[in-house]
This record gives sequence, C-alpha cells and structure tokens, in this order.
Amino acid sequence: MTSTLHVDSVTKDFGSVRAVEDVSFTVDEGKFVTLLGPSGCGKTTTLRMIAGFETPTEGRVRLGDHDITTEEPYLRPTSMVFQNYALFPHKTVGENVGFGLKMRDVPADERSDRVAKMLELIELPGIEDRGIDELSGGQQQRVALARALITEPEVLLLDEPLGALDLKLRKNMQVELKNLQEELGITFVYVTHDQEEALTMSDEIIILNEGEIEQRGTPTEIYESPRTRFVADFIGDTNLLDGTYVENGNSAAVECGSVDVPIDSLSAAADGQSLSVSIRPEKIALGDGAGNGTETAVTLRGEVEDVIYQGNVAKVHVTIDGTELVLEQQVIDTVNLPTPGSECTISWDQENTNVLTG
Amino acid sequence: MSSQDDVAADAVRPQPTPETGTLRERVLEWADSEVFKGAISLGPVLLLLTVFYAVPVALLLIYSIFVEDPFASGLTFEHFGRFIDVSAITSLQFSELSYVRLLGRSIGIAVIVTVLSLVISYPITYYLGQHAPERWKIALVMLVIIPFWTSYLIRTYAWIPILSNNGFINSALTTVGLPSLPLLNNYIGSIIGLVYVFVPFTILPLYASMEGLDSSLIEAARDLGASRWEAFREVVFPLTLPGALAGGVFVFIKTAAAYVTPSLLGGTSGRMYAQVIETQFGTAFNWNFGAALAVILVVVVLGTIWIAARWGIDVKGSRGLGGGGL
Repeated sequence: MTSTLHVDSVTKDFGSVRAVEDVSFTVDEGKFVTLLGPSGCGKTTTLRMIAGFETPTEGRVRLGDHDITTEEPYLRPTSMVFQNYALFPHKTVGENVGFGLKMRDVPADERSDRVAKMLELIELPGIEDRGIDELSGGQQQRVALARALITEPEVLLLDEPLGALDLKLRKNMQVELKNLQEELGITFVYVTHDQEEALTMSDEIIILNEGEIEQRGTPTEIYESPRTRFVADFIGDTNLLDGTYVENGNSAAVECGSVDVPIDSLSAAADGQSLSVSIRPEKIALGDGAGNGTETAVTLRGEVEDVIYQGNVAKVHVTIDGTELVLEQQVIDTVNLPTPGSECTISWDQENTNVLTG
Repeated sequence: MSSQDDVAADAVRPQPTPETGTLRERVLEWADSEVFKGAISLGPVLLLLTVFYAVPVALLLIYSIFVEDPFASGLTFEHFGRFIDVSAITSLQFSELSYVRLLGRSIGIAVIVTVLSLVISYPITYYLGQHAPERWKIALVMLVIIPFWTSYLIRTYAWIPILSNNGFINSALTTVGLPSLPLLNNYIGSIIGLVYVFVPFTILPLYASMEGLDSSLIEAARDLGASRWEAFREVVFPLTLPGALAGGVFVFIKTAAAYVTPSLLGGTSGRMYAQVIETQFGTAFNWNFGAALAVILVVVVLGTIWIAARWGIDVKGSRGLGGGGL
C-alpha cells in the first residue's frame, strides 16, 4: 500500500485571522519533507492539521486513498514529536515510551520488549525506570522520538523538535534524525524555522510565508535557484538588488542603481518592469583589478570597503559606484586578505545570477 | 565596624559621631541580627495564630477534660466517655451511639459533598484552564467568585423556595406530571446546599492546576491513541491531583464542621455534628461536653486528612493511577 500524504487546498482561519491559505502539497512515502518559514507563517498550523489537532476550514487531508481530514488524532496513523517534547512528567521513561502501546491494549510483556528495543534504537538502552526529570534535554528529545515511533506510524510529524537543544547537540541530532528516517523508511514531515536544519536533512523543502507556499524544491533547488525575493532572502545570505528590466537587442540586464546586472532575456518580462536579482556571496570571486573574462562572466570594478574576518571565511564588502555587494572568500592565507580602500574587480558566472520574479 | 553598618548608621543619623558610637553600634548590631529579623518578620503571624488559633484550641482542650469549671473542678474523661458510650458498645446497642452515628453521618456527608464538588469542578476547570479564550478567562473566574459578595446565609435561604415541596423544582416536576421529590429538610437538602457553597473552593485550586497543565501533554496522549477518557485518566487527572487534593481537603474540613446549611436545609436526617456542639454550648450550657465533642471532631477530621494525604503521596509515588503497567 502506498500511502502518499496529500494536503489539498487547505485553508485554516482562526476567527478573522487566516493562518493558512490554500496550501497544497503531496509527500511520497518514505520522504523527508520540511515545512520551512518564519514564525507565524502557518507551518505549525499545517502540521497540526495533518496530526488532527486542528480541522481545516477548507480543503482535505488524505493519506493514500483514506480521507483523514476530520478523523480524531488517536485514530490517525500519524505520530507527533512536540517542540517541548510533551513527555508525561508523572510517568517513567518506560511508561512514556510504552504509552501508545498501552492505549492499543498491547499486553505488558510485549510492551516492555518493544520499549526495550526502541530504547536501543535511540541508543539509550536500559533507562526504562528513570524519571523524565532525570534526563538531559538531548535524552528527552530521543525519548520523545521513541514514544512517537513505537506505534509504527506511517507519517511522523515533527514540530521544531531540536529547537531547545544547544548548537552542537542540534547538529548531531540532525544527522541522527536523517539516518533514522532512512533506516525506518517512514515519511517525515518536519517543521522548522532554521534554514540550515532544513537544508541538512530534507529530501524536499516547502517554504511557507504568510500562510502560503512560496516555493517547493530540493535543498539544492531552494538554495541555488530561489524564485522569489522572500526565498532568496530567507535562505542563506545573499546580495539582493532591486532594479528595472532593460532589453537591448539580444542582451538584457537589470539596472540596479549604479550597477547593471546582465541577465538572459526574459520572455515573460516587459521593458521597464521592476525585478530583483540575487547573487550568493560565495559565488562572487575577487580579482586584483585585471578582470578574468570568461564568456559568461559578469565582471564589475569597485573598491574594497570593509573586510570582516570570520575564521574559515572572510566577508568582503565591495562598493561599485555606491552600490554595496558582499562576497565571501575562503581564508587560506590571512596575509592575502584584501585591504580596505584598494581597487578591485569582482566577477561571477552569469548563471549564478538569480532573477526573482515574486 | 563593617562598611554595611556605616551605611545603616548614616541612614539613621546623617552625621555620625565616634564618641556615641558604642551604644548605637550595639543597637544597630542587634537590629541586624538574624534573631531580631526573624522575630520582626514572623512575629505578627505568630502573634495572630497564637491569639486566634492556639489559645482557643487550648481552651477547648482544657474544658474537655474538666468536670465543670476548668481548674476549679476535677479532671475527668467522662465527656469523651459520654460520646463513645462503652456500655452501649458492650451490649451491642449500636443504635444508642447517637453521637458516634451523628459524627459518622457528618463525615459521610462531607465525603459526598467533597466528591460531588470535585466531580462538578473538573469539567468546569478543564474548560476554563484549557479551552476558554484568554480574554474571557478572568471574567469566567470572576463569575465563580461573585457569589461570595452576597452573605452565605442569604444564599442558603434562597435555596428554600427552590427546594421546598411546592418550590421551583417540585412545581416544575408536578407541572410535567412527575412526582415531587423530598429535597428540603433532609440530608439531600444539606448536600445540595453544601455543594453549592463549597464548589468555588474546589474550582479555584483546580483551575490553577488546569491552567498550569501543558495542553501539549493532552495532545500527545490523544496522538498516541488515548481516547478522551483515557487522556483524562492517564494525564489530566494525575497531573491536577495536587489542586484537587488542596480544594478537596479544604471542602472536607469545612463541610465536616458545617452548621448553617444543615440547620436551614437539613431537617432531621440532614442534621450534622456541629449542630450538636452548638446545642451543648448554646442551649444545654454544657461547655465541657461541647468542648469534648469539638476536640473529637478536630481529631477525626485531621485523622481522615492524614490518611488521605498518605494515599495522595502514594498516588504520586506510583507516578499516576493505573500508570504502573510497565
């Protein structure tokens, strides 16, 4: 049985506030999909509609051929990992993990066997009798995961599960979560506002903004080819330039103040239309003023304004007739960092210029 | 002299003179001592409790063990003996044990009222704490408190036209052709009146517990396959038990010693223990026996609560009722 998760034109109103507007997506079985967006973008509400804690105002939620839009949470083959873990403070680790089995009337012997196996899977064997308050944040996180997985859900829903962990632990858990998901082959729908987390773990990312989907794609597509200004700005650092589209014979450019950024001519855009372009800092190379002219390279002349050393990389701020661009350089040798005030050229491959239509 | 004392001394007198330092230093040092600070902060409370609580209870105890006037007559346990009536027990005439039976009935009514109050409070506080819109919460809690603005006596009197044989409820019942119910001047009247008066005292602490209960715990239970009832039994009830116990103990104590409500609504079968105590003090002028009855009530109520507390601690120790499955 293939159980693709379908979210069809789902809208959710809370009183007069529209939290989610006409959101549709599908998640194939065994995929890791992330709903990414700033707080208040509707990602958690969308997740809660899949879990059954909220009923959509309009639209349907289906799992395979089964319409689960109005089904009670406890009847759905979904499990949720909560942001604050929501572990039962009055129950032991074993009772927490075994809760779902107890509710399904699994006999006590089988229950303790499966709890033990699940605790081994999360690499915390033998802690059944501990209290929740005796666990560290990372351990609580794993126990919450074990509790959600023990009922063998078809879809695991995770609501910012790593938000409360410190950075190092979070990075470890990201990798572990991804490995676990691949090992179990369960569909994961993951909600986060942390773009780096989304890029690290997801098969696909759905970017939400003000209750609507901005863009959906693989991490590479989202990062390398953002389609809207919002996506380019939200994911990673970038140089965002606003300007107007100018077509000149068979060449075209976006005039951004003092800088003309050449682009491929667009059939959809009219002369004079407002457009934005995005160029990632790490795609821009710094030259000494001589230029490095390959055929598709965009080369501009400017002056080094500022150099911010960050250890492995240095951010170089360059002004081109008053327009500032930031580029990122690997620091191989601190002696060769550019000096502020010096003349320079910057260049990037034209295909790394992203034209943003929204 | 430490710098801290300097600051304190300056505060008392802007221009300190070293010559007068010794006395002032001693006073200030004493004022800074832990004993003085402790006495200052705890003193008023201790004084209040001593005058209004410890002394009256001590007087009760003293009255209960003297034949008549304290210290002017002999020591005796006859008043306690009159309560227990050993001859009635040895001759198996249990119906003669009127005081014991009355205390038993009072405790029984107190248990029923406590349980009913909690049963009524749970759904109300669950709604208030978990589902009520934030901006309505204060207003709804105020609705619980507002009845306190009216006299307890008047509110109790108000039940008479509601419960009496030709009152609102029975008129409504007879109008639709149902037999009328005896609701007034019996123990049902006492129970209804007491539950009405004491429900707010279980609602308020239970509301505090419910308000503090993380709603994602209930969602987690529901998500993991618990029905609404199972989520209540496994999560809501054990986690709000402290609030329920706090409210329940208070209601139990107050109900076991209830006087006004059973006097007005209880009749003969709703007669409660505190009414007998009042009779001894007010009508019979047997203060010694009245005091003995009061001491017995205090001991029995405290004993009941002690047992309940032990049970409550056990519940917590086992991490929730019915939670010890694994």
